[in-house]
Amino acid sequence: MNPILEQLYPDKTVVARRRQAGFPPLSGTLDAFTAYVHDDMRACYLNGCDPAAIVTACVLIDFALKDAIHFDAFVKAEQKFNAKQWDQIDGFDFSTSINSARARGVVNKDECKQLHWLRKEVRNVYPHGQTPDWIKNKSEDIWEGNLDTGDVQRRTVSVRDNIVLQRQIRIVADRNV
Amino acid sequence: MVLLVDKFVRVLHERSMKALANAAPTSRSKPTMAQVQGVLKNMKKQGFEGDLLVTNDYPAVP
Repeated sequence: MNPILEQLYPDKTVVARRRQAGFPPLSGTLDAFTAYVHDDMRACYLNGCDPAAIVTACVLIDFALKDAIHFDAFVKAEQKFNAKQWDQIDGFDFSTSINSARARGVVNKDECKQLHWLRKEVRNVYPHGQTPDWIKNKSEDIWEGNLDTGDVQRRTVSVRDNIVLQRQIRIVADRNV
Repeated sequence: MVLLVDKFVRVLHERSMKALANAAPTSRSKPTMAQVQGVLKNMKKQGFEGDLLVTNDYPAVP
């Protein structure tokens, strides 16, 4: 559990809820590396270490998708490993991986859309220290106080205009990983 | 987001397993698990003491 998150948005039951919902490890996996990274993501999630779970998930989906693309090529090529082809797949950026997976039928149209959403809103921004537009475009109702006069007022502010709000919303968003 | 990635990993894995199972009967040259185990047994007879076997292929369904 992250003490800063717990102080700002206490939720003593989040770990218990996540564990109760069930999150089994991968079984009988073809790719040991995918299973290994998946298990780390799972451990972070089940222990309330949300930023670590998100970053690990970003890495995992990249590896898993490339593995699935390669496996599709491997099976179609009479199950012969082609190092040159693998090098090519291994060098794909995430967008190319998603489009390649779609072209090969490894993922369907809806899954392709979800993966591009994941790429744009999480994978391309979070590990690079960027704040996604869906956070900046939000509006929040806040109480604003004037330290000189003591006056307070409630008003709606654009999150884009307030970096502290952007950071706070990120913490809440992380909790809802 | 974590659960979405988890779902994807499981779906992709399941599809890969299915593709392999469907392809296995048509690929007569594929080694079976029995063949792999036989080779491993022979390695052990000749002094192999490792605890990890790495292959460059996926054994077919026995």
